[in-house]
Amino acid sequence: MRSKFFDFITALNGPQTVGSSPLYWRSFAIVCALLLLYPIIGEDYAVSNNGFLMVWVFLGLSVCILWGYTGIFSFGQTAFFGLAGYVYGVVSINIPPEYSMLAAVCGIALIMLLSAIVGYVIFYGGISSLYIAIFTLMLTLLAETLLSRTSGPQFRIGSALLGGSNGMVGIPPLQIGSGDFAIVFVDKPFFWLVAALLILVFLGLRFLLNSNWGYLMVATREDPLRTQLFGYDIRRIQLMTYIIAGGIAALGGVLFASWNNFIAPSSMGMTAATLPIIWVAAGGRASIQAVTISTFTLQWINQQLAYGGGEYSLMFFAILLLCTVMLFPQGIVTTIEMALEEYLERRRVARLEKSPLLGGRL
Amino acid sequence: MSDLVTVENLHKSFGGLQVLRGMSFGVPEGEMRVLLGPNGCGKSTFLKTMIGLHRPSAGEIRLAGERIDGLHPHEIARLGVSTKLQVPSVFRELSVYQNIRIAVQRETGRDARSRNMVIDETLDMIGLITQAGNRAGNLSHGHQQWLEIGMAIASQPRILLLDEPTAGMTPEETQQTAQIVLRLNRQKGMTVIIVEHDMAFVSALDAPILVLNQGSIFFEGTLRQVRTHQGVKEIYFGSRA
Amino acid sequence: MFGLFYQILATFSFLVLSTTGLAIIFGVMNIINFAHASFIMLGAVVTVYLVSAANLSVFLAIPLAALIAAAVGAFLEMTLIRRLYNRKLDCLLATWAINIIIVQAVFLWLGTSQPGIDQPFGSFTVGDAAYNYYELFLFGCAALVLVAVFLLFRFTRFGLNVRAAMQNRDMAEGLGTNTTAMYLKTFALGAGLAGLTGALYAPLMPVSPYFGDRFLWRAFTVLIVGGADPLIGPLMSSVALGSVYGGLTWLWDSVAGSIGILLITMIFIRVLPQGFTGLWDILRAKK
Repeated sequence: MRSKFFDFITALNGPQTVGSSPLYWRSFAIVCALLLLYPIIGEDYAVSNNGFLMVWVFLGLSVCILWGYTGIFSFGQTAFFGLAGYVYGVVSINIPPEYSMLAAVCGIALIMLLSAIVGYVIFYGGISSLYIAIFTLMLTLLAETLLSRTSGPQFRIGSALLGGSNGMVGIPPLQIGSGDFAIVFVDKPFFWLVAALLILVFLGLRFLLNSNWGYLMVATREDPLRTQLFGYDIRRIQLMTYIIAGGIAALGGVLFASWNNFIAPSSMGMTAATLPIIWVAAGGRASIQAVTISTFTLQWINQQLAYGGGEYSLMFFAILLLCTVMLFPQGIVTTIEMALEEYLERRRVARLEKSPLLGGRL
Repeated sequence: MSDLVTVENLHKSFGGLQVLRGMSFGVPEGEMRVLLGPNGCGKSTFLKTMIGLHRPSAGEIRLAGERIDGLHPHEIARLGVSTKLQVPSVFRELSVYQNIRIAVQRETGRDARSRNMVIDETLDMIGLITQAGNRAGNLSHGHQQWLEIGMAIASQPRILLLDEPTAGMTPEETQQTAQIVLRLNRQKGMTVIIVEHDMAFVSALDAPILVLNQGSIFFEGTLRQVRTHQGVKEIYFGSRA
Repeated sequence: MFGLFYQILATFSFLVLSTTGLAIIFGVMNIINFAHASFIMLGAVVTVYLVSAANLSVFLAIPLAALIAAAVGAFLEMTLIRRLYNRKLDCLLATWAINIIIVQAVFLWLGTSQPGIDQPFGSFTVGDAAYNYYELFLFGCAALVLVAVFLLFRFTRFGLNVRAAMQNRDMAEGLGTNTTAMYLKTFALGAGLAGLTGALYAPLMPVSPYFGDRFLWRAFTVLIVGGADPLIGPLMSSVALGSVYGGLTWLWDSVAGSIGILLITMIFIRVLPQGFTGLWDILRAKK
């Protein structure tokens, strides 16, 4: 039993992710415990809001595993996020609320299918890196433009009105069970749902990134040609990763629509597409941990700035992006992490040098 | 016994520029061949065509009788063709150990024990065991070349292609590389085709030589025969075009 | 029928003027300048203030605004852009950030809407629809810009150096070209052309800090479809996309036109990533 546990932890550790010592995992466990205990002591509004802030992390992770780990710069994740919200909205409005989980599954599955198609066009069509950025940006603009034209009563699927640029309203929250025994995921239950999903996705990604597949993602990023010469079909690697990233973004989109009860084309606009790039760049694109921290923090800051008047938030983020690109190309959180590791390492070596066993002074 | 590798009447043109004009030769299994030739003779183009980076304009390349020309690079690699390109292209951000891991993990799958064994064996063969944890980008040029050779051989390929493996190496490193290649060929029976310039390396290998000129095989023979052949001297030093 | 022709002409001018500055920077320096939109906006904003507050003639204000935009571009190149030549993606992100910063700065300082200025020429009617002489003037300007760029690249020393560096930067440097100065001038030129575009369109559209946005993504489509050549690219793709946009707008509306060019651009990225420049090269090689 104990050895199985250690095997499990070993599979989660590796060069692609930060932190693998017992100290790290103990801290991780404590953070998870605090996360799950928080709703019990927190007040409703704050808990609900923080749950909402965590939803964005899925979008950030989606961009991160593509850009930081596989070298694919995609503006399209925001589109997948928004479209998943739309699919969830359309399906959940049209079916009884106790089946809303089905709507969620639909949203995620359809978006993964869409990302498979888009990914196929991109990777098997040989579109190269910078053009992938532009192609996916245009895709996002296309989605936003098309959906903005859907105002008017004729634009409906079942009883779900698409709503044009004002968006779709009346989206029911996720729910399990029916009637008196239903768990409706709002406020505190929503926080628990998002937290649990986030922990699962995070651990799942750690497992993936440190497995054979993760090595291939990194190899594809570092040197696509060389990777091919080892017998790997990089188009397949890129496509599979793209689909996984699409699924994670879609999960975020479904949670977003569920919490907001609303989804609009502005979730897929230019500004919306910029923010995930900033979270990932500022955090540290090659680290899912850094991105998790930076996404939550930056969205929190975004909210605070919006309360203060909102005019300065865009400026703040733009300056942040510029500083990150010019001064912290590795990302701010990653730079801090690396400095921390260096500090801990120096302390460790210093303690060893003092050890009498190694010939240090007594 | 039919050859492991056969190149038949290979042509390759880029727009109006004809680089390979009817190149033909064969290499029996387990043997080594050195490809020599003056600059511009088509050595690099041949190698790239063989590994699938270019599609031949005409002619065939066969591996154990099966055509491989026109296949994708990764498909050709899976058939057991391993390459070390001229420019060192290791995964600079990863460690030496991780570099080799990527080279072998397709073969060994999830079996961590056999994978680690293969990686250790390879490190031993190329003499980089002490550097296993170092970042590949920090290695010296010569060591990076060895790492690349290690990555090329780690998957036990049927045929190894080396494109100027000693470019930029010191004379000692060149000799050591020759020893590594000889060991691979004689102890492991690996078929090797080497494109080279460095005559010290070539003479240490002591293998049959194919002289390439203007896109086709000009002469085949031992090093001594090549050195004394009048025509070869002329294509290197001028007079005959 | 004249309506369709006029629409296509107007779109062509719009696309050529929007894109040439962007295309020059992309073609020569191989970087995508997202700050292009803010240069256009600066050109427009400076123009309206020079005309309404300083009472300058609009024909004086326009070139002045272009020069100011060029100066801003030069400043940015010297301080930030030149550190990012080898990091293309980072350059894209940095110029995007700069774009937002400049736009937001103008927004915070001057507010949303700016004084409007009138078109200098009047209008005329064909059939029962009214058209502006100013659009025809803009067409003239677009044609002039193309000719000027052609002359610059063909017959000046700057143009020769630029073309050499486009082919082979290391070689050009080895031959003594001061690539640093050349890139500075190129970027300033691109920024100046963008400013000129903004200035020229200021009399036609309401000016706000977000003025440049409507030009930006359309300019990108023209850039992608056109390819790397700063002359062939904008010229041929403005004709192609201008016709598509003009046609679709005339048939349905401008949103259909926008969707049309987005789709065509995406198809080009997939099928002809070198754009019309690539097609041109292929045709020339076949001769």
